[in-house]
Amino acid sequence: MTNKIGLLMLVLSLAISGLYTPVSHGASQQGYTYSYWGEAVPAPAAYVPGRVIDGNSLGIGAFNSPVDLFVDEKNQIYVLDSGNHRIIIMNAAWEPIRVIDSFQRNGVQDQFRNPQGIFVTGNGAIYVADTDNRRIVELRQDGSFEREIGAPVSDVLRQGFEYFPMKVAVDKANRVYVVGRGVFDGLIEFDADGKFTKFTGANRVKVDVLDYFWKSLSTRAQRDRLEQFIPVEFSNLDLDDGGFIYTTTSERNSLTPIKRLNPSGIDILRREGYYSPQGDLQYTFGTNGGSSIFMDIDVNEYGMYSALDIKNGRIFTYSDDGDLLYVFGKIGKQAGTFKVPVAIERIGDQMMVLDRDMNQITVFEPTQFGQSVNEAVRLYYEGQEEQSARAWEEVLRTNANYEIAYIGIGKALLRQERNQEAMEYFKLGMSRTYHSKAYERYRKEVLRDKLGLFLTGASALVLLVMVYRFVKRRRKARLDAYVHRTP
Amino acid sequence: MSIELLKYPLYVIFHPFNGFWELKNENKGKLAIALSLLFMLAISNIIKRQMAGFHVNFNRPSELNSLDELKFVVLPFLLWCVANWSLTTLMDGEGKFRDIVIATGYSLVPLVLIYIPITIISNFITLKEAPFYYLFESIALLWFIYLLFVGTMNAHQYTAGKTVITMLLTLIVMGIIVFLGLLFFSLVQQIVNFVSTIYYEIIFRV
Repeated sequence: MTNKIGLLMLVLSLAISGLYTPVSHGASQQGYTYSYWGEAVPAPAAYVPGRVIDGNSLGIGAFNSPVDLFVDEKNQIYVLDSGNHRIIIMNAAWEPIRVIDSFQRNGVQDQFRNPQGIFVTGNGAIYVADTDNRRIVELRQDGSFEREIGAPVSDVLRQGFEYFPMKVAVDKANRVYVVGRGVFDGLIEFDADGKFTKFTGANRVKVDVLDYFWKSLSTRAQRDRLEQFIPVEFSNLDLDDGGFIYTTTSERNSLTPIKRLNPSGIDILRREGYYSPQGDLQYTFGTNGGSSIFMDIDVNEYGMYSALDIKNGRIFTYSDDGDLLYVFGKIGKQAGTFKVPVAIERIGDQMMVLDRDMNQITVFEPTQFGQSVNEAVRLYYEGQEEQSARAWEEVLRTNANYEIAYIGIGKALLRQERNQEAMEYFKLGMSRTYHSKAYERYRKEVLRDKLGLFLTGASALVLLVMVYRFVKRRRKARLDAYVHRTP
Repeated sequence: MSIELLKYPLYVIFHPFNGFWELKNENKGKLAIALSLLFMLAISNIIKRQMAGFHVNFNRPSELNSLDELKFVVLPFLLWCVANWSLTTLMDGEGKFRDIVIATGYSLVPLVLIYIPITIISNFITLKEAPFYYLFESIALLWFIYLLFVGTMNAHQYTAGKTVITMLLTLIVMGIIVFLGLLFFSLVQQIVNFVSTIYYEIIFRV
């Protein structure tokens, strides 16, 4: 008995120490994912916080409410230090190259006022959403002024339209997309010459049935005083290599807070995962509860995107198919946690999160688990299914409960015509569609192999029965003849 | 028990009007058979939920509980019978409680007959062929409802319209019974709570 208790204590203490292993990076990080059944299941951390960078450590003076972050194609890092109305340009080793805090416009000294968004094109043009000056400013790489794009002018603008550009992005054709504060008509699109063309990709209005009922009962005067049904505005945007726009909305309890817009403004995000990309699936209700609220999104070159949840300080990463890959990050006071995370960017395999209130950037390094997942997703995106499957096997070695990995391996097996094994993996990954595909092939295979045998067996049986009957009839006939012969 | 009695349910489902008539008026129905049909349905329902092929089975194996499944078949059956009896007693129904149980029990035959084969077949179909599975499932259900309709009509000697109304009302009465049951349990709970509180008060103070 005492032995048993001792053993129990040992097991318990092991379990507890396993749960609370201190991580050297300040805050302990444990990841999770959502299973097929929509339950949060523990997973190894995919990213762990590494360096924390602030203005003082860079030797350029403390940041003051920095709000946006950008990494260009040459891996230069741009920080939009809004409170100090300046842009800090750094190389990948975090050495400041240039600080832009003013520029000459038509011979006049000019400054930003509360700028909120920054974007840098492939050829180094810096676009800044200069919010309180109600304009987009384009600067050259050396910080000199190129042009400015003012408020849109058009007949289609509704009355009382106020233009406060918050976020900006520029595609390969130099079209400029702007997220405006309180603009629910969609993204504001300017052509390459800075002329307003249209609104694109407006969010749909979500109507509450109960609200609709009350509204239908009320009089016109009452109705006018009620809140209007208006679509939600975007909170941020990013462009992928194909020129598609990824947007986030800060709507609560939305099922589609992340969208991928094509040039005609239609959402074409792939939602092939167990659940549509929406951040947390399980959350509490009430004043502090509710779903994840996305503030920023970052898309990488192989279609993987990470969205930043400002409420819980979590970063949700999805594959281009919409599978939830991993979740990390949290709100807190230790190093490696956030207070008000507002921007996320990727540089190589690292992830950077900008904190507006702590005035610092936290750099996250992938763990072995995170690296394997990234690798597997990249290889699959590039069409190298077999190598991808090998990376997934690596993932499974660290986390056997990682359902998507089974699907990844299953796909590779299916390609190799190893249908029966593929079926097993798809079942573990709970993918009915792929399991059905594998099963269809497997069934055909079995039928092809065994049909001959089956038919031979069946015809032999029929023959046997016929012979038996024939013999029986003959015998009966003989018996009858015998009986009749002896009266 | 003669083989005739065991074959009779099959006759009823294919010739419901004659079948149910003879069930009631020529004493061909046996309560034991009706109840064993109910038991068989419970079993086949458990088998179906547990063993149906991956493509059509959306149950979480760790959440399946055979006793719960039993509850979900037997309880509605009894509720239906009680509700129907309570209602038809007031609505000039001729059926006795026994007749209702037998008619309802014999109507379950299509469900019992179809569930097992489709469970077996569902293990050999792809997702594309899954609609056939659902088709047969719906056929079983519709057939059952039709038999229940004919059975009720026969048991109480109602017209078709009155039968439909009675059946709908029975559903409502089932709801009311469940509601009353919950209310009763909640009240009992409160009383128990009250008594135990008084008991503890006395214990602590005296």
